[in-house]
Amino acid sequence: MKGYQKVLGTLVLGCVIVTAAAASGKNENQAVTKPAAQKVTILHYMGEASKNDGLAALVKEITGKNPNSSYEVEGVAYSQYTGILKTRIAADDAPDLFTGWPNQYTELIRAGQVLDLSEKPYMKRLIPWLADEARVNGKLYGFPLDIQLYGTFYNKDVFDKYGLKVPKTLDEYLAICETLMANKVYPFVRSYKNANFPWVEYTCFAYPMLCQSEATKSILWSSIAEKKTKFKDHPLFAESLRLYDKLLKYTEPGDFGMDSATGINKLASGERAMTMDGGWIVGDLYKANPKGRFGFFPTPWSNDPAKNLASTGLDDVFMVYAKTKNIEGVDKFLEGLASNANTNIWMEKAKMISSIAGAPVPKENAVQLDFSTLLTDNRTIQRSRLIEFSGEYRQKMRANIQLFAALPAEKRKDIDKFIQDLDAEFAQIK
Amino acid sequence: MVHRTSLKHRAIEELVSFSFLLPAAFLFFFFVVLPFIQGIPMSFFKWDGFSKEKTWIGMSNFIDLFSDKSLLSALLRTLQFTALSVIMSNAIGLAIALIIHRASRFHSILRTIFFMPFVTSLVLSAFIWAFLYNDVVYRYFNIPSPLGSTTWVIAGLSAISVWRDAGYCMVIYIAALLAVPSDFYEAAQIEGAGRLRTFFGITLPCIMSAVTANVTLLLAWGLKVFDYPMAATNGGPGQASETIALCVYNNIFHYYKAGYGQAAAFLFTFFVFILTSSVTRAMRNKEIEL
Repeated sequence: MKGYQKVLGTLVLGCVIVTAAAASGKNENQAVTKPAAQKVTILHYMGEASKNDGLAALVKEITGKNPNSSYEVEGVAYSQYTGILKTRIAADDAPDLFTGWPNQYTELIRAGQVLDLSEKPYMKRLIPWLADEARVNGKLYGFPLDIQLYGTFYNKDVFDKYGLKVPKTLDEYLAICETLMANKVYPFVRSYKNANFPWVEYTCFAYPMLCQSEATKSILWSSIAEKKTKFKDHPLFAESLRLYDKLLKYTEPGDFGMDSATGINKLASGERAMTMDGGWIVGDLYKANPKGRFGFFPTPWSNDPAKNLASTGLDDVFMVYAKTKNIEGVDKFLEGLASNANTNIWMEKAKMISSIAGAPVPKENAVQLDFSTLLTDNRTIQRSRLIEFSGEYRQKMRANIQLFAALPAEKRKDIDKFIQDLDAEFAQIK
Repeated sequence: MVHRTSLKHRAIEELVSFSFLLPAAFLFFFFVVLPFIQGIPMSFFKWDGFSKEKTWIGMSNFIDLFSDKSLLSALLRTLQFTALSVIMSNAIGLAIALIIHRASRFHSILRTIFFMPFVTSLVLSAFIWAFLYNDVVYRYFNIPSPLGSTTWVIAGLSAISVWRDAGYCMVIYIAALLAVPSDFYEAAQIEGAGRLRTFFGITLPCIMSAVTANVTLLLAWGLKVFDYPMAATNGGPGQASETIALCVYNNIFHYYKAGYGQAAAFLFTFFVFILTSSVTRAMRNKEIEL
């Protein structure tokens, strides 16, 4: 009897396995039904709550006008985004639309995975210089949703409390830092737990510095990636690190464990005075403190005010999977993004500046007005003047700037050693 | 005739018993063994991970591995992490087991409390400790988070591992301690042996099989650590907490070097196998039969 029970038990187990395997397969015998609405999948890495709200509002609006299309939005953490995107492309499960800067996904473009949007009618609505930022080898591979500015965001209430004025020169900037430290207020919020933050912070002053120099503009990163030059061949790069070292003097030790959300809250509440970051924080800044008074100025790197410009570039860019089966739905989505009504939704929710030529700037937001003034007065410089690193070079550059920020002060002083190690590491990249 | 029937009966019994392993074996084969085998040919190609085209480059990836300083640094960091985790988890687990292995309601409650961290997922443990380091330890004791220091980040991550795994070690050691015959301790007491002598002369040799099991398991866990550095530091600051597993991940997914990353993964799996086998064999020699 015991033997029979074992055999019976085995048979039951076998049946369960076979049934489970069969149930996971497709049922080919379903009756033919009316084709469902086109489902467009969108993958993004927008971490800010205000941007997620903005995207949800846009999707709702566009879906309402296009009942034959539905849009499934999936957000992933920025740190895992590239891995997830590549895995899905390799598994033939690529999203129809995904965010990213074309110049940072050149490998995908070269492999024919990204659709050329140059001839699409909605691309003609873009601000021309911004559209150029989304070009690779002369072709347009992304639809930018907004213009990004990089520089220093400040809490006006803190500035007023200590009698501080917006600095025009590097010396004035450093003087503000000293005044705040003397009053036991750490000048900067540094969300170093976010691996991308040190790089963004560094580029707020380094890009205007490097992009305006004849010696480095357009060639610095690309000549290093092409192994034509090394970091040590560019003295201005060493200068930029020396300036970063000066600014890192004002770091609170706890900032190395601080995430972006906490950092934004500290600036919004007035616990800290400034942060060097990109405009994506504006929406969350106002969300954290709707009555807060905030402003923006280009991070000064020089004592010549004319040279202190805010760098501009892409932020939220939608790229299209080259083999998408839902091109109609994709086109409707991007057309929707380019419309005036949706432009206003995005600017209102995400507090960004629109990429659409002629779009009005909301007047109630001080930071957006500061952005607009700088753009109008030509006090900005395009980051694309420096051709970006991509792939392993990009990752390792960011990691090394993060390393520089984390080094003890005495080790940071040896810039030559740091650059030597950086060159050795980059020489190994194949 | 009776003997043959008995053998046949035993064979059927063995087969039936083995069949209950089939579901687990099936999953293990299709989700672990097969992908591993499929990955081996990739390591002989230059491939970006998503294109249809691959370029045959023979052993180049393997040769380049040995001169890759970042990979060798990642290996060193992984070994540091593993050494700290294995030693501390076992030491703390054994210490707790020695204190609370006796049967009592209070000890039972303590066992549950010490085991609870092991139930937490690896990623959640990393998030909890990242918060504790910065928002509790730094705020109230003014000690900066080790996760932001290039010197202390590996120790900081090891602490998370020890917090989680010491409870597991404790459970294994408690079971082993309870199996040690009390006669041995009585004899030692009669002989006048002190606590330390009793521990090293009786307790430790008798629980050696548990030590082997824990050390081998934690060695394997430590060498393939990925979740803690990924969730807590993303390999930073800089690359100060980039372990081998994270290095392989970065090569495949961020550096567009899937072939190279696969070669590193294959070689490292081989290394882990050799190391854990050697350690297990060396420790097995010290075990005694009770």
